[in-house]
Amino acid sequence: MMIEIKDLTVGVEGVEGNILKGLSLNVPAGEVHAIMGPNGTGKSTLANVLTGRDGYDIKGGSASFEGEDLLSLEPEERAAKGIFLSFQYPVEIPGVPAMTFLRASLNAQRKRRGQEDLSAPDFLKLAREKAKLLKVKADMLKRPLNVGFSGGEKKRMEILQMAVLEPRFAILDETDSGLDIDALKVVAEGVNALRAPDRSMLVITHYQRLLDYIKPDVVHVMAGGKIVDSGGPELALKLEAEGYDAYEGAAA
Amino acid sequence: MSISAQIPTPEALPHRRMEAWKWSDVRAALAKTPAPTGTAFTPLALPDGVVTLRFLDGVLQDSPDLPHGVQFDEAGKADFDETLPMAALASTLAHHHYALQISASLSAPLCLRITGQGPISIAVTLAPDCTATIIEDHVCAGGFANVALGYDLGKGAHLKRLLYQQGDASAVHVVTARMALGEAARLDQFSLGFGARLSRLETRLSYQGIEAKARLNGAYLLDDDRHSDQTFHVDHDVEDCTTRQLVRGVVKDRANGVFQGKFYVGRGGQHTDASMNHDALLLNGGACINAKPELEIYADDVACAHGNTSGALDEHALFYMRQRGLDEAGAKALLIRAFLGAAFDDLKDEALHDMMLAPVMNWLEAAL
Repeated sequence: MMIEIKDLTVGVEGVEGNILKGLSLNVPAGEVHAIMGPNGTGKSTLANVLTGRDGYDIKGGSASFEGEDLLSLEPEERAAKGIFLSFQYPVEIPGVPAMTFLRASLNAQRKRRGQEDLSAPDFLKLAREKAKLLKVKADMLKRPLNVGFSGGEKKRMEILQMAVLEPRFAILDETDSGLDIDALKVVAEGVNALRAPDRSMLVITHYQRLLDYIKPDVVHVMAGGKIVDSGGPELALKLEAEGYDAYEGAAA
Repeated sequence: MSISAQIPTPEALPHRRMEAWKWSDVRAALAKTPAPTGTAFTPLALPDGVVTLRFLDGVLQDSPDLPHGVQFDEAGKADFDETLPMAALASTLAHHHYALQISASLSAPLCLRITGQGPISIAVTLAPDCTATIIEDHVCAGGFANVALGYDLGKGAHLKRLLYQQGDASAVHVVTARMALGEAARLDQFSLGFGARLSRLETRLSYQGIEAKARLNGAYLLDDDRHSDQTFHVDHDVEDCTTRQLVRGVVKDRANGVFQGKFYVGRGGQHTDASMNHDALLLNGGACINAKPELEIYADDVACAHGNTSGALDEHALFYMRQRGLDEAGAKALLIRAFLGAAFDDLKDEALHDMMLAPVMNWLEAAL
């Protein structure tokens, strides 16, 4: 199993109560799973906990990547193993050109995996090739990362990073938010191009729309801090038609 | 020459009850002289072709061949008034007073490498319409060093002054410069300080002629218990002068960074265009920044602005960068380098830019 999450119970440090309440979820290699659910149900918390953000109190359960415990690793160690998060709100980093950042990231991961640095010309070639696929202009790569980028540009830059870093397990947190339909198509094409037998994805979304373009193998419904239902793509359509009301009881 | 003989009597020293010295109490710092901690110092990696004048304990060490148009001699005492008390002391107590006269434009920088202890005074004159770059490499490996510099820029002259300061954690290291700019003269200054037990880099500039321009950028990086004070005073009392300033600092551990900037615009300073900016990053809770930006304006048709900020590294940005694979130190280094970069951007000469950035990169590698 690529990702195996068992009874994960998580709160915010220093705050009583839990956000994730015994969440269990398995994602096999090569599959794309979607998590849908109402706002405030802990979808982003799940993404943050899997990638190692500070500030959470993990009270129980486990999360492993190919059988190895994830939760004890630093964020950068997880990244080097191939865990990638496309952020709901990508951070602006003034003064650091996107290209510089991306190359530093890739080489930091390679170093941790015992691989040689990618040379500047090789990197440039790789980045340009991927940028073209995602319709990211060369001048955007020279600008400070995400500074002054539109919502759509930021999301395209996230997927570009994913394409360059070639993760094993990618979490896409509300990648559709703030995108118009054209940008959504570009982003979805970029994501679809990355589907591979040894790569899994977890697509977190509030709306079904994204799943028209990124077809999931499995759809999970999350409510009240856990997975309350799972099914095929048709489950997303049902949710779109009926809303989350049916799950309100299950969440309690 | 014993060291104690070079320390002035306490009464002569500025102290914390004086407004301009309240965060840099030289008198208290010199009341005790701890043993040097043996910090290793790396001299600046100078670009090719730079001629260096070396000074140790206030004395010139050698007499290199100087470029055409450059004269270097012993000279009479320089006058500094009570506005620059440490420079006045240096000039009073120095055994040697030097004069550097530049009467032709120089194709390569000159370097003044000033090491050791004690007082020294150097007066630099740049003749009208001449262009020169002077690199000051100041190292104080322990004890007390007190450097007084005077710069006179003739009409239309253009000086690039690059100042690099390193001091031992036990040292008291003061470098004071008085700058006079003639009509349409231009100064591009960049001061980079790594602090000491007490270090003060002070620049007091006055515009003597109209349409002169100065850029006073700087950076400081401090760790452990180091202190660094960058103090500036700019007198605008003639018309149409332009001053730009951006100083950025990083402090960690229990270090203490001080920025004092004062732009004075007298009645004669119509059409002054001046802006002062200082921003500091505190890397942890025990570090400290004291900043005092001041504008004092008596002319009614001027544009003056100042901004002053201090804050911590952006936690969201740090997590974002670590999620992409950078380790914590690498992520911090990239953010800090970007933060400081704005102050370095005005060093247009690539060789000089890289020369000044190299010690910053070393510091980031060692301190993070």
